Amino acid sequence: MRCSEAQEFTQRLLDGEDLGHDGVRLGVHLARCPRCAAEHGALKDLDGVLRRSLRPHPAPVPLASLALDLGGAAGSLRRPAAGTGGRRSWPLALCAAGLVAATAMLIVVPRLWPSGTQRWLGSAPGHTTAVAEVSAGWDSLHVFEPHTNVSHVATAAEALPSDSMAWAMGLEPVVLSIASTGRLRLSADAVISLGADEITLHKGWVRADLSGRTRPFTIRTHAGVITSRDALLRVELPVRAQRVEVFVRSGTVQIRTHGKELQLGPGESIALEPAASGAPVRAL
Amino acid sequence: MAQSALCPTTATDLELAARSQAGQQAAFEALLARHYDSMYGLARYLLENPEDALDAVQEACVRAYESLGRYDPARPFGPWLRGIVVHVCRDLGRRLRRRSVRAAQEEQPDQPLEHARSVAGTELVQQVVREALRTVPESYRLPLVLFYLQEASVREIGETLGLRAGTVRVRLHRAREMMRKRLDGQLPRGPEAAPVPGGGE
Repeated sequence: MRCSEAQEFTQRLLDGEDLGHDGVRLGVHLARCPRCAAEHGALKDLDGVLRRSLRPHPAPVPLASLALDLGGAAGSLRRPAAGTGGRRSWPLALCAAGLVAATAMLIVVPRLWPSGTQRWLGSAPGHTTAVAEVSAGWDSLHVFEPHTNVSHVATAAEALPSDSMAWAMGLEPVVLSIASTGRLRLSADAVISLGADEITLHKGWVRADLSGRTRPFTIRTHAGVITSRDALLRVELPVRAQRVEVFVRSGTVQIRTHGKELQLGPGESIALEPAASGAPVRAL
Repeated sequence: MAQSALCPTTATDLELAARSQAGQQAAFEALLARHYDSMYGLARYLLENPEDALDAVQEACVRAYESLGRYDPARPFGPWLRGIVVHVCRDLGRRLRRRSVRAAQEEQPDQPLEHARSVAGTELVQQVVREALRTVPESYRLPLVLFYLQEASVREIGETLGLRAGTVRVRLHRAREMMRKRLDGQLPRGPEAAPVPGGGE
């Protein structure tokens, strides 16, 4: 057996192929050829590393939650038998429904919010208080309001009540105007919960312009609480990491983490680690 | 929906697929339950984000339901379903890349942050492997992920990706070579893996 054949058989062995008699020939060759034996060993090492490292991630939610959604979709899809031409009829129905909904929205929304945006801020009817307004990227933002138990896509200049949860899922950046002055810009994958003069950041990043506020504004995260009334700052939860990163462009920021109080000034940044971490705070 | 007798645990994929094609939604849901973890695991590796992976799985479920009429019962169901997951992940991945490029352009002043967070946690072998895998071109990465993560055979990978077995083998071999080069010096190596001078015939 030549070395080139040995290399080919090694790869086929890794592919899970049963080499039969060629396997014996390969073994004989490897016993006599140190270079091929080393190559074979290195590939087997790599194979082992890949098998150990590429492990499936457990699904974070049960199938039942997806199956419910599928049930809804399937019910409206009315899957036809193979080969029929009706399979694509549902997008037309969807478009028609969307058109009707958009028309209704054009008629209804202006009546709900006749003019201006500050009118509702902090004084929304009902038992919740509006704490922010969607000023850009409204079609990219999904909102869940616990008191109605309904989620929907945000509309232009929509008032977001406290206790609501919002997550960005579109292509456009999402900007929220917050009560008592200030703006929040959310990443396209951000997930936040809204409160009075505060948000909790669950995912993604938020850039907050808090200059000119009369009251402090707070950004809560799993690793610390960030408060300011005049800062331009960015708070990020990096993907695949537990830490929280805080960058301050201007103004001052107070941070409370693991019982410690910190203050950051312009140009300063910090990484906050969760409680289980050995070093809860470190400079970036 | 009223169903005839169906035992999701003992029925084969093909039996469930046939019932699904006959319009039994419960049979289709049983199929999804059987392949859910596999679908999610694949999507998770291709998209690298749990939420995106769930979106992809959900979209793949709907697409699979829509496409049941085109499923050929003569072929195994798993690779067919994985093929749909791969297509959905490709579509979603393209949209996400466009989004991230746009976000990066908009967030130009914050670039130092990206540099600042590139170092943490790289000691873990799994992370090193994933980072290396990310740099492998998709046409080579997909067979590798299907082979190692999904434990799919060369034939099943071919059915999932619409490739011939020979092409799958070549891509697997090249993908291993790429991974080997990328991981060179980054992982501890066994004594038998050390280069041996001389030898050869």
